[in-house]
Amino acid sequence: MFSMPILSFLIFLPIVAILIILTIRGEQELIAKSVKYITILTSVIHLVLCLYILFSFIKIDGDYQFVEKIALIPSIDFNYYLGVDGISLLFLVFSSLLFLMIFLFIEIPQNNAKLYAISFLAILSFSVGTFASLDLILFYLFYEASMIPVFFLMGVFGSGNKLYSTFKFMMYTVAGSMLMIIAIIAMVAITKSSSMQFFDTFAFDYKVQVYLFTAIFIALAIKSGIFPFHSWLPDTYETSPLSLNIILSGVLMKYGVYGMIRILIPMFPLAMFDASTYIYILSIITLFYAGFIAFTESNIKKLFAYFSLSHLALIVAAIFSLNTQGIEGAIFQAISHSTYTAGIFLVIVYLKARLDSNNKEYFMGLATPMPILSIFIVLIGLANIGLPLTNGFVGEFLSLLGIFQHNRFFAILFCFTILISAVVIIRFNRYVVFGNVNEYTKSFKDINFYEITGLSIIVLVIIIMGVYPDIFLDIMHSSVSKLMESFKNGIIIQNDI
Amino acid sequence: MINIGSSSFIIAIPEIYLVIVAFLLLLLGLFTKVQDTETKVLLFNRVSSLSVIAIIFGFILVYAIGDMYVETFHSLFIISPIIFLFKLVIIFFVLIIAILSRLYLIDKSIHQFEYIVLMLFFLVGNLLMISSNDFIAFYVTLELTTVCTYILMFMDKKDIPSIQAGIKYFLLGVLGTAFLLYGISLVYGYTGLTNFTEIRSVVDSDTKNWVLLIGIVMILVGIGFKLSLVPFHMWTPDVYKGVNKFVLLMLSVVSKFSIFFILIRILWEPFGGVISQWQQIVVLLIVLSALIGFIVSIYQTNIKSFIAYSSIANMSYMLMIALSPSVIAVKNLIIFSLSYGIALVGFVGTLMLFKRDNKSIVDIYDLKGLYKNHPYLAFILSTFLISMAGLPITAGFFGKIFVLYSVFTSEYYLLGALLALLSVVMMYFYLKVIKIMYFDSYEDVAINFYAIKGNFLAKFTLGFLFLFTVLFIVFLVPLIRVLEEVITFLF
Repeated sequence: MFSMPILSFLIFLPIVAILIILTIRGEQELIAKSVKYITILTSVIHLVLCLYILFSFIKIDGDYQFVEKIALIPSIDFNYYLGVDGISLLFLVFSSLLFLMIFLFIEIPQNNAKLYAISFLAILSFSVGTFASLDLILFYLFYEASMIPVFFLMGVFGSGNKLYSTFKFMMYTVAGSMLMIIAIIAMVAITKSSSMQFFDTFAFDYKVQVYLFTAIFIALAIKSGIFPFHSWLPDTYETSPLSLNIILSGVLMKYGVYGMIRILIPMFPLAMFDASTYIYILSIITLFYAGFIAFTESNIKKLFAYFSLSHLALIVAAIFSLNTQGIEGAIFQAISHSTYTAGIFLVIVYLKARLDSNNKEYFMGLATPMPILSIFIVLIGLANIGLPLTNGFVGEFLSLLGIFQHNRFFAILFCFTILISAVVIIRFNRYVVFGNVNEYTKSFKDINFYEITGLSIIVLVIIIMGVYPDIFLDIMHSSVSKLMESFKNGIIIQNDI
Repeated sequence: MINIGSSSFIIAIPEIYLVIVAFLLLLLGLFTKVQDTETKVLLFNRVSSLSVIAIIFGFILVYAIGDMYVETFHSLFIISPIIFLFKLVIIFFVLIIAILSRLYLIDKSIHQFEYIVLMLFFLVGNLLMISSNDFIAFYVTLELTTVCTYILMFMDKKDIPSIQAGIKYFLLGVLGTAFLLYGISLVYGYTGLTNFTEIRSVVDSDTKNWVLLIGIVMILVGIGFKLSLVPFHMWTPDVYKGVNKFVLLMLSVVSKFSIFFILIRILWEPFGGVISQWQQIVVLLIVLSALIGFIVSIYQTNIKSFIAYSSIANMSYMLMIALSPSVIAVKNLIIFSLSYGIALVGFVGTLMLFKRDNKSIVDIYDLKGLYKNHPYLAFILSTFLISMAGLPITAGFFGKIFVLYSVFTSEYYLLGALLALLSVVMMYFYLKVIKIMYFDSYEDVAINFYAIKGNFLAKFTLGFLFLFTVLFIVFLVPLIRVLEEVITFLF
């Protein structure tokens, strides 16, 4: 195995970059320029290292690899304990990719360039920590710390009614995290250990499981925007800068999904099993509610916020199907959702560079003035719908397959997600791509080579994942089966008692 | 070891040393000729620098005497590993405050050297109070500290709000003391004893006596006044608003911590046998303090009155530790007091170092536009705020989880969860201050932030506090190892 602490390196590389950025002084433009180079360099190294982990990862071994462990507080078994398995590795690689995308293809604002770069690099560092930590307290540490830079980014670089949405986001997040930390500390206080692997095998009493499950589920549901806890999301998406939108939907909302897979399934199997019907109901409500709002919404950012919600609902439901196909589908759908949402928001970035507005009505009939961009919009839209040969199809198919095995009735309802997606995206395309050219769009120039590169990378990933999903499914397969094993053991242990 | 009867002087050496230094500094001040402000400031500077050195030596002395277990002066005073740690914490905070506030005091033209001498007496009082093992000793030393704070508040004759605050603090302090004395006399009436250890041997879990119970309640009320626990908190916002930032820190950090340390000693040692009788009262105090502290604090715009409510709320957090006597609880208490105290001292200490439009900063809206003018200063301030809010990865987060951990191990699940969820409410305030510094538009306001030219030591100290707050996890590991080595038994 590798003795090099590569995961720690991934965490501390952005921090080193932050320290370098802090020392830069001079003119505003100069700062912005050098900050841009530093961020790009950092994220390129980051992605290369992530890919190195991806390629040297041993696929048949479902266990954690690249493990690092430093004891911090022995009395409660709190360690600096990192490691990746197939599940976390995929999240890790894709979040690294998204950060490279936003640093490369989205312009750094001239004012406060330092704050912008520092905040994003901090999120990058913390997201690695979140996905790679094998210790509950450490996980929470990174998970919650990621929210502080978001606060600054939303408040300083946001637009519109930013203060309201910033505070709404922050209070929602903090309240959710407080529930989570209460649950985590209670778990640690009961067992005197905070290692995730310990909890994977430890069986709490049923009643305790239910309490802990509820607290942590609410925290994670806030993060992934499940129905009663979703109201922060549209406001946040509307006012935050677009680069943050990509990170929010691609990385931070995935914390919720990842947490459900990593914490809820192995640690509270019985509560999980019993809760799945309720969660299905919540997901169904989210799916239809968010889908219908997306259908009528004219604000582009809000439209895709609601649209993300309806996709996340399917992912969460697939996790609660509690079988291998469902969970693999959920993970696959989660990472593909990251890519095609990033694509959509990148398109919006390019549109907003031409006309600063969020309203769909202003961007009519792009097919005539911007044929290349229109092709990309349609392609990414098709991935959103889940057409075969795009990654959306694989994820949705596996998720629905999993739900079918668990509960046919709900599965039929969940199948409407395809219809809803299709309606929303086709309607969007009818307006934006094939509508009548109006006075604003008339003068739009088509995207340049630089912008084409950005979108092509996304489309390339979408198509590779759609045509040959086995690359990614292989990586997670043994880890997911191990997860399911520990889930089944959890249920068996309880039944024996 | 010098022995007079049963007393060993050696453990009292730090206190004796500090008293001597205080008198020497007083003499130095009296025999220095002072004609004008310039010489006055010079004298103040000299006394203040000497006192910083003296406090550092005091710290070393306490450390050198170490963590033995000795009773002395007919067991009026005691030293044990836990008290040893408490003393170190208190001296540490006084030292930092002394370093940070020197230029602030000169800038406020408070340059009487007596200020510093009084601070030393205040420190001695606190040290003696922590190590007192007898209700009489406790009462006397408590009065020593409070009298010092009265004089500190009355010192600046031009500062009317401060004098007003002093009078309020004096009147209510006396009221609290009356309750305390009455409680002590009732306990004495029941047991015939004033010594903590001896009372412990008389009072056990079978004791069900209403005189003793009323005594305990009265003592709790008296200490509740000093700790400003709800419903005895009414004086706190008014007093804190009036006093200057130096006295504010002394009251909200040093005095609160040392009274809290003696409170848990009183609750755990003499009344440790009758836990079931005072537990519900303490739970009630915790819940009330948390409700008032956490919720009322978000409406404040004055920084000092916010600190008042925030300290009420944090006291309720600390008081949860008092519910169940254990070695772990003491460790967690020390971690919490370090993390919270350092964040608070760092925040107020940073505010001491600069002014806006030649006025010191009192309102949170005075911080508007700070980020544009002094981005690094804004960053440091927001770090301390985030730490006080208890968000990771700062020290405050660890303080919070350690308190929650000890509460949950003693199975107060609901109480811990309630307080943790209430603390979310107060986070709104911290985030609001950060919002004012970073997001608010500032074009319409003419800004003139002017940093009081800090000396190297103050900046270095602030830097240390900042690093401690951010990299707490690095400090935590050796800290816990030391705590585990030192604390092996209760008192």
